[in-house]
Amino acid sequence: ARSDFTARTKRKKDWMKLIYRTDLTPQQILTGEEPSPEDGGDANDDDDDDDFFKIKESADVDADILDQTKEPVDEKALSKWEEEDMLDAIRHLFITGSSGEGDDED
Amino acid sequence: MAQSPLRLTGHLHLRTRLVLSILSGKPIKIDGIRSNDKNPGLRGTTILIKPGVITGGTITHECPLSRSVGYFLEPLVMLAPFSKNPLNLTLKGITTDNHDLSADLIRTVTLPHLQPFGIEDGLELRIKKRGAPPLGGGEVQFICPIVKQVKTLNFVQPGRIKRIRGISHAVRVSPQFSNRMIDACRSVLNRYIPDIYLYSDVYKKEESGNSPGYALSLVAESTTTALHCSEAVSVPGGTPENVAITAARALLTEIKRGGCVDRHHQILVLLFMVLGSEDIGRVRLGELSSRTIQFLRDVRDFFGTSFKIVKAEPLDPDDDNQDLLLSCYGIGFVNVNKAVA
Repeated sequence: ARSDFTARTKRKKDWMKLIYRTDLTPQQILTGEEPSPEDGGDANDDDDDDDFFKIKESADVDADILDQTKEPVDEKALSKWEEEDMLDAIRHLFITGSSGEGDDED
Repeated sequence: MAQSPLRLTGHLHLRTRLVLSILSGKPIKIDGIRSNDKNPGLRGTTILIKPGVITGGTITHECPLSRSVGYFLEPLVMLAPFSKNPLNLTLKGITTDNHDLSADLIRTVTLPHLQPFGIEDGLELRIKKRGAPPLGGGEVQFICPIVKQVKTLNFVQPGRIKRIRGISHAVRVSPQFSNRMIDACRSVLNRYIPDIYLYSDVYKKEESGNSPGYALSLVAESTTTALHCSEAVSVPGGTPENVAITAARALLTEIKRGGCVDRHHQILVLLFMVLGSEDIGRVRLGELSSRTIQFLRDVRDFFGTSFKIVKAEPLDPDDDNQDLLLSCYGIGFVNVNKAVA
């Protein structure tokens, strides 16, 4: 049920509001934290929020994070590509995949 | 002309904020730079920047070994087209690391992202020597033409991946490592398309820098020239196979994320859309990175430009695609520095 909930909030995300009219950090926006209706600033209606509040209150927690372009390798996330289902699920993104309009490259 | 500086906080996003300051002509004051840290970097916790003219010309710079040449090239690619004179820059140091885009990715992915904006002829990055961390010893030459204005972007069809290219390199270790990376990478990617070419790039002797290392960079190109890239770099005690599998899976992650622009290049493309001619630019992007979100806020502070952001129409009815459509009205930036020919 929880994943249903996150999927739903992800779909409904109002990016313009979240980016331009709230004080949520970029990380909070990406993890699906919702602004409270009154000030659009902070919401705290989800267990996960606790972690992010610590980060927000103490800006220097990220002092060790470098200003860098590459995102750190997430071994856990990458390991999902061990599964055949996962590998097959993106075939349609290649010209050789099904449901194509018959691209004629090579 | 005493403009009060725009006030910003923290050490993150420094490079893009410098770029925005220089291009907008707005001075900035950044405070709270690692203010609780005993070793804050820089010399202090506050900096004030008063932007001037981007002169360009021929420059040689020895980069510190704390960051790769990519750290410096990424913002310079954003500034160089607007110089007074074409830039011919030689940078020395580390050419591939885990933090910023490698010289390979800047050459094969960053520079092609400038093409739709009309920055193309004479644009070049040459990797003359490779330099792995920690001691570097690499050298690249970046040549960039200057433009008066940039074109409006309209890029909303991601297309489908038609080919994959890669550069596998190994310096001061067995050249076999490079081939082992290629084999392992193919074990993941061969299932998708036949058009895969992975180039083993061998540098020898003084061209191979001061430290041992190896890496694999990958680029997938779609039927509409959308690019997605990934890269993995050797770690002590690791294997070429692990590096290659990591790079290949990271590429699949990027492809799955969708959009018309590589995730590491969202900021570059959005910046040039803001600078574009006074017309509406459009782009389809996959999930925004957290850096991109901050950049969108910063752009509004510097240029007053907000993007319209809406969910893109799914390409397939049954696709759970989360792409976004971003559009903005270009400010019609004119490079007033450009010398009259």
